[in-house]
Amino acid sequence: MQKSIKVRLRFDALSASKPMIYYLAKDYGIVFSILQADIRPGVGGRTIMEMTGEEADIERSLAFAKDQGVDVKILSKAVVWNNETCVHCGACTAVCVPKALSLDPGTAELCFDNAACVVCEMCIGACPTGSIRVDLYE
Amino acid sequence: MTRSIDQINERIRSGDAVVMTAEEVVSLARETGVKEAAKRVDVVTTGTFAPMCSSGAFLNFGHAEPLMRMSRVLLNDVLAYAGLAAVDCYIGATELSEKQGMAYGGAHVIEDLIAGRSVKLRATSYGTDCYPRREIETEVALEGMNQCFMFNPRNAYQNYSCAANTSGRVIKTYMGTLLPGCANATYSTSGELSPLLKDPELRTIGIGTRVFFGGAQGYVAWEGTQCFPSIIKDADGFEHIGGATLALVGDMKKMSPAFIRAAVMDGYGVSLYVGVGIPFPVLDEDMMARLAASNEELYTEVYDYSVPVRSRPVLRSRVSYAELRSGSMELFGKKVPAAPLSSLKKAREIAELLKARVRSGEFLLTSPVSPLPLDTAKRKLEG
Repeated sequence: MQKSIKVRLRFDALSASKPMIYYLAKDYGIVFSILQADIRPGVGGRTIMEMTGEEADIERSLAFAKDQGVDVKILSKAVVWNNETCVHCGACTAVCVPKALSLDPGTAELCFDNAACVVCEMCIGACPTGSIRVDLYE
Repeated sequence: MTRSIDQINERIRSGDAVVMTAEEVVSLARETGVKEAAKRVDVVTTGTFAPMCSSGAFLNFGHAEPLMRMSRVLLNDVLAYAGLAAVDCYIGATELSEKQGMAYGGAHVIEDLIAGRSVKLRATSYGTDCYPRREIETEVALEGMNQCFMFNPRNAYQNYSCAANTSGRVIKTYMGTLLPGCANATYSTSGELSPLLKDPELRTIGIGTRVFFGGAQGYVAWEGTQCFPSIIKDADGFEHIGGATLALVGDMKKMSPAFIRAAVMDGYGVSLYVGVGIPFPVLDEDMMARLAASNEELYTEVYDYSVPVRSRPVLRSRVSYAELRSGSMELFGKKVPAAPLSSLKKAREIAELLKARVRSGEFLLTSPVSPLPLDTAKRKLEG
């Protein structure tokens, strides 16, 4: 079954020197969309990415990554917004390029589509009432 | 068909007045025509809820013992202007915290007070014979203070430009975060619900007009700063309304945190969301024609906010609020996401609440004590 998940991969200095994404794509047929990446040679770092592929392939690819010394965390809930403090102004929708945040044309209320969110975190700063935060590691 | 404000108030008192929100009246006039709508409706309510930087409040703390003439006042580490009498101050919405910077400011102090929370007052003085005390540190809350009234020099902008960014970098402005290459655009008007767009000639609004202000009843104190009302016909014959502003005054103790909220505009600073609503008397058909103007007939211009000069380049000279409300607009042949900074949901809440208050007779309409000037010259600062 086709599946799409968001993961955070943390690399140490050793695993960061391996062409991990190449292996995951070539050996397991995973389609990647890199949402964030900060990796430095000799230091390591992390990437957040969306992985799309057969469920079994994703599982095997992550097992491979762990085996290569990569710390893997599957991210579930991405953006969380506080409906109590939100004033439904729409300022966050201005910076939400994938349109995960939008105003309902009928009720003018803010709506959030978790599946469309790419965790770019632009909305967090853009929200004037500080009503949005990101829970990456739930 | 004409009605006077006195006649309308009489109908409100007897419970016969027909009150509708501006959105309802737009639909009604679409169905029945302006003439019939004018006959049927007595009062039309409007609303807006948007960041309005030129806002603040006068506070009187009551006298300390020994007496003190506060010369420097901090409220939750936000500086308030104290160059007034002994225990008077003015806390401006955009003043930043001396400790937290842009994360907290005067607007937050105002919101905290209205929400019933106490704030830390720290004041110092040079000490005089009549006011010997030199410092104080205590907590103050709204209910423990004397008069606390918001006095906002510029609120309820009649119309405001739409902002985009042609530069190659993200810019952070009071119009929100603008993405490079015109990848987004922002605007800040509630369109057909926006108070001053519904009375462009300012026929019924003037000094002394009673308005919905932060949940309470407030009043128009004066023309707002930079109040330059105008109705300009463009080359294609479309009317552009804009420029009027109001200075509003109202009792903070009667306001609600639902309609006064602090805002942080990322990378720009602190501002205050202010909820304002005005009920308009349907004096005649001309008035109804204005009140029934829909988002399709109300326009703004798109400016390039990446050029920080007095006359910013115009990127598009006419865009309707209907187009902006659709969530995207056309710019240079591309579809650009358009996002509001003013809350339509809150604007509707205000117009509905005001409708209920007028219907119940608790909110009567007022005749202006004096009209607002319509022909003020715009001055520029040299230097």
